[in-house]
Amino acid sequence: MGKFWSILFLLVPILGVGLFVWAPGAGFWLPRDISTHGHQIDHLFYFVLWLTGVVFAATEVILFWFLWKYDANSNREPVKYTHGSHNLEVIWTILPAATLLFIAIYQMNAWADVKMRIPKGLEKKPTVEVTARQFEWRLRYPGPDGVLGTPDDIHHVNDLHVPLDEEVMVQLKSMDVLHDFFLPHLRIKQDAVPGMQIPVWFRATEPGTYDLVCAELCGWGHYKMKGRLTVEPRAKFDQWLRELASAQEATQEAAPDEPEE
Amino acid sequence: MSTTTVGSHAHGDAHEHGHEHSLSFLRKYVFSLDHKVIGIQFLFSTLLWFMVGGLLALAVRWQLAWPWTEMPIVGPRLFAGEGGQISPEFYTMLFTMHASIMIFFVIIPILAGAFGNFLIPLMIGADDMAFPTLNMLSYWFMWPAFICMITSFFVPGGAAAAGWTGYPPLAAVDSAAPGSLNGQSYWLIGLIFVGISSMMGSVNYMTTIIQMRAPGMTMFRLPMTIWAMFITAVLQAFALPVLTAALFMQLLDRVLRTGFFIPEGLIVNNESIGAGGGQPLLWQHLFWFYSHPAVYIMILPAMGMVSDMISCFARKPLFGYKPMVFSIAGIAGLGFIVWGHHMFMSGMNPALGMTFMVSTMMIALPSAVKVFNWLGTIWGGKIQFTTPMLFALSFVSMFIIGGLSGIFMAATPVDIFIHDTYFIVAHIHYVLFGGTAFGVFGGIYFWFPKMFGRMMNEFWGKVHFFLSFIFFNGTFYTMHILGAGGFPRRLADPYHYDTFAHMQGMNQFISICAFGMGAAQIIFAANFIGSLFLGPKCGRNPWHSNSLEWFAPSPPGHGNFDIQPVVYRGPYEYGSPEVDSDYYPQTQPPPEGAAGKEPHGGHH
Amino acid sequence: MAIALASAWGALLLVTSGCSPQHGSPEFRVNLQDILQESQKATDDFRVTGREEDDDAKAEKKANREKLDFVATALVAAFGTPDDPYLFAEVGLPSDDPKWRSLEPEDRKKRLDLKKIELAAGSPGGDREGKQRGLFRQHCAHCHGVTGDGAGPTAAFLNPYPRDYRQGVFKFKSTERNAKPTTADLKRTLVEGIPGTAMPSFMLLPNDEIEALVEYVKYLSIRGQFERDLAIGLLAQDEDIPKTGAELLETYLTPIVERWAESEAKVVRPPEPPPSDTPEDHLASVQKGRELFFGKQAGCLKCHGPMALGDANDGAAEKDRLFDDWNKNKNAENISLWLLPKLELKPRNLRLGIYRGGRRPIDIYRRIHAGIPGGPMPAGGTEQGGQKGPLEPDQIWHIVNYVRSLPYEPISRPHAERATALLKERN
Repeated sequence: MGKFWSILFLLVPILGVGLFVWAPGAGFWLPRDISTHGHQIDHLFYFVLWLTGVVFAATEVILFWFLWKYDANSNREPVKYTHGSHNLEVIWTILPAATLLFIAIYQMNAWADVKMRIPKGLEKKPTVEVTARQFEWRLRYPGPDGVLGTPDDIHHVNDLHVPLDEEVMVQLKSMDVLHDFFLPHLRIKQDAVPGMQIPVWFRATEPGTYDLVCAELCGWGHYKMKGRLTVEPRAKFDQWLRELASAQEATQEAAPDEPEE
Repeated sequence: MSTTTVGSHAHGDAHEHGHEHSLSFLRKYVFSLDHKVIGIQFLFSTLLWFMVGGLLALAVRWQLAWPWTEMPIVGPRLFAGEGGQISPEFYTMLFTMHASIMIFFVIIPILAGAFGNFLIPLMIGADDMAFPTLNMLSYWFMWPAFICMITSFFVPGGAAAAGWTGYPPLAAVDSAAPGSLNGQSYWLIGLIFVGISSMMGSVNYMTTIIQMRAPGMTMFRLPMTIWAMFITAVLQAFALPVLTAALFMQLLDRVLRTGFFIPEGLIVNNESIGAGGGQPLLWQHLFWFYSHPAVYIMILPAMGMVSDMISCFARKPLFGYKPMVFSIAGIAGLGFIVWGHHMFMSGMNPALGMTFMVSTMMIALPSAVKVFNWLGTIWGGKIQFTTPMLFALSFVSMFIIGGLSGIFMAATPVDIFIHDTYFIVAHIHYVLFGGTAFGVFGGIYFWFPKMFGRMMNEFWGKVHFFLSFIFFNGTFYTMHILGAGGFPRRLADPYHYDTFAHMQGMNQFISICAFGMGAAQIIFAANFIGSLFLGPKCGRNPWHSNSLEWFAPSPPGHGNFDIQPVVYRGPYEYGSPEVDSDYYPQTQPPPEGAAGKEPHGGHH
Repeated sequence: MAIALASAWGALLLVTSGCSPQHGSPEFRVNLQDILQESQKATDDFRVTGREEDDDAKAEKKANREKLDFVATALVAAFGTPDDPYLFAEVGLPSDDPKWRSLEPEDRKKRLDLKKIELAAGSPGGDREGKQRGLFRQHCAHCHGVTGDGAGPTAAFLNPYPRDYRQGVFKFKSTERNAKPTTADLKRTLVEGIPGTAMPSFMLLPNDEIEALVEYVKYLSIRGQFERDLAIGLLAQDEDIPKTGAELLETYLTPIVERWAESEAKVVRPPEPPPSDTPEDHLASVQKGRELFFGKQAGCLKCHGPMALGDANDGAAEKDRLFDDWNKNKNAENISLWLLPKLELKPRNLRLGIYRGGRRPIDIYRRIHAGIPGGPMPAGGTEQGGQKGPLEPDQIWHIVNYVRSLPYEPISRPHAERATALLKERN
């Protein structure tokens, strides 16, 4: 029976590694990365993945091997009566400690880039103010005067546009409870805290539409807080803003032409 | 307090002598002062809550696999008007109560309350805890908590629905969430009672372990279970007051509209809210300052028990006893300076992201050392694949996964992506279920004979293990993949996002495995209950284990030991060349004429 | 062996407990409240009075119950069930039906598109063609209720409550006060949401799904009003049960459908605003608006308060508090008849920049011109072919400019001073 259980434990590293080998090809993996920060973060993810993968496989296989070899039913040798090995303890303390410390220090640059080093001049010039509320994303773009908080601001909801290949700064706020501004394709995530105003900056490198997800429980409608990020060239972005601005000032409304079905 | 007098209740505590025959049923089995009875009370209560928490999880899994379809059992009874589909706020309540119950009413009480209570006096050679009345109170203070939680399901708005982490303003403002009516306040009060109960236990355990060890039981002859319980008790004592304070503050915010956590200018549900002047981040700091040590509270005792079981069933001494002890202490100590890793995205000063990253990475070190030492214990042994051993081994195997996945989260930039995704859920469940719960199952199979004088059925125990192991991994390993895809937590319907629409199939696979895992526990329940009445009777030491509890009768009577045990060696002398048999109990005197190993007269 | 049996039994127990007493589709909730309120007799029927009943009373009770049964039958015959909607051909048709194609455009505009309604009806999930169905239950029912009565499970925790479609009154629209909203109005509500309430924006749903939901809202509204009118007509006004389907249609249903059809014609189309392109003109307009706001003609102060904070009615006595029209009759005695307790209405705080009906100048114009039906905000303008209101279009535009400037006007330094100072500066 011991051999049977040993094989069961061997299945752990085999299927464990196997699943991670199968998943990317089957379409279950990190979303496409379209930002400059994203590739730093992805690189670190893979770094940790490989490191932990090797340790995982090694320790689990060793576990299997010992179970197989030292099964009481088949092991006729006397038990190795020892209380430990000082040398081994030193080795397997120092080595992991050094590795872990290295991993930590290696990551600091990426963290600083994403969360601490806001590009020069961007701090005072938000591209858009995003105010999260239950259960939508209220957007406010500075109008033609370029200043947020004036009557010509452009208000919108859920449909966030940003210019392509430019440093964008989002001024993140919340009107009521904690929310979280999560852009999976840009590897951006930041809690929106009521009472705080938090800058989030990124540069999107590919045009298209992407999901904006709320990633902090904000009530019953948390799942419903779907936003859409549209990345488009600067000219199209400006035009979109102009159209919104003029629609916002509408004093007349044309009779809708209903197409015949 | 001397315990060298044979057979007497020398601790002079507040219970009368030699009268167990005249105690009423109530005093003997309900309000008992006997640590074993209290331990078993904890065990039964927590196993019942385990079922409740598990069913809530299965409801969550149903919704994620087949969103907005008629949910079995609950749908037709509660949501008939909507065709049986649950409402979104009901979903938020499901995962909130699942986690709250599992953490505060299952894992923490079963480790400290059930196993700690039962085993500590027995393993150290004492006849009861230092404070038996306090011990009894620590169990009965759980009952107001039980009542609060059960009541919260039936009040308007239902049970708490702001996540087990209860972040304000969502949890602190009535109108922010349904269930943020009285249900959320009941949750706070219930947790305050749990905290009081845990504090009482912690004080008791620390005192007992320091003061009431049998002669010859030096600190470094204690079994790992006891070391773990001791250090866990220290963790409880230092961390709990912070949580209790935070719970009170949030209760005041809710009930008296104070402004600890609520900033000014909020507009929630069309009303301007509250006193203002508060900071939501303050709660997070206070909460996690407790809850991070809490996760170590939830694993260290299991680690201790697993060390004992592995050594016993490998028939070999524990590899690296002192490093193992120092690792537990290291985990506990470092555990106080890592809480910020739950808050990397919270809006706290990003510089803290650096410091907490370093400390969190370092806490992986003692855990790694422990894993290597367990492997070293198995190496060269004669492994008996009993049910407790299988669960203990699976603890090691699953903990490796859980611990390694933690490194992704410790890496702060990587956490930007995986925070609040299913990667975290996978990690949590690998350490808490694959780790602690499997360790607990192992512990139940291992110490059931001592608790009840009967053996559990080995065959069905192995079936339980096999099915649980397969279904557990099927359920939670796949979640790592979901998390790598960015699949967020706590969403009632994630599939209307393009990014996650294709993941429903994988979720269905996970849910089916989860149902299988739930079903497998029926076997355990049947085995447990059946063996209580029909299990084959056993002697004192069916596993041929070394530690002191096996020296007492099965089950031990009042006062635990027939004669005062005296300790001559550590608990891991398996395969010792000094004796013929493959185990050498702590309390067995050395052979005549053997040098050294005199019993010490005192404790230290 | 014992363990095997016990496990199997346990598993069986767990599985069968899922088998429910009530399986199958939800049903529309019966709308009794309005009927009972309007008809004292009907109320008595449902109360245990303990009085001795004579034969006449018993016969009347029996007749009333027959009438109620008829109402229930008529509803199913005319509208179907939540899973299986239906409409009379005069009310609506599927758009892939040849009869629909053979209609004149004006006749088509008067009818509902049953195809869209079917998309929105039913339980969530795909149909055989893979098209998403059950949209209403997936997105809307937990607030608005399966019946559209604004009393779904979540509604009790919301302020304000979700719209009760059965009243047939929609607050934020482009039409005159007593007209129904247009399809474009309903679509706009779905797309923009209603800021300041729990109604979120559904902008990101595909267009055909939004249109399906709009059609379903109209369906529920027509159904709800029909139920109410029929029940009140039969029970409170003692009319006879219609003998034919045509009579039922003609007497109770057609008037409602026609009101919806004519909503397009009732859209408020304001004239061009007075010129305010230059800063001086704009400031002058704002100043005029301010004077009107504070003046007796418009009477804005009474509710919105001198600081436009919406606090003029705070602390009012019970009889002076503001409620929706359909809530006015709820009181302590009849509260058990109602699904939800009544919530007090607060006049809008105009300094927040949150406008439920939209922030465009034309939206605010319409709000002032037509008021907000169902509530205390009165109509300020003159309805087409109707009673003369207190304000001229130009005056309304001035108030619009003033209101839109309020979020940017420091509350302690009223605009008039700034206006004067600025004008002085330029000169």
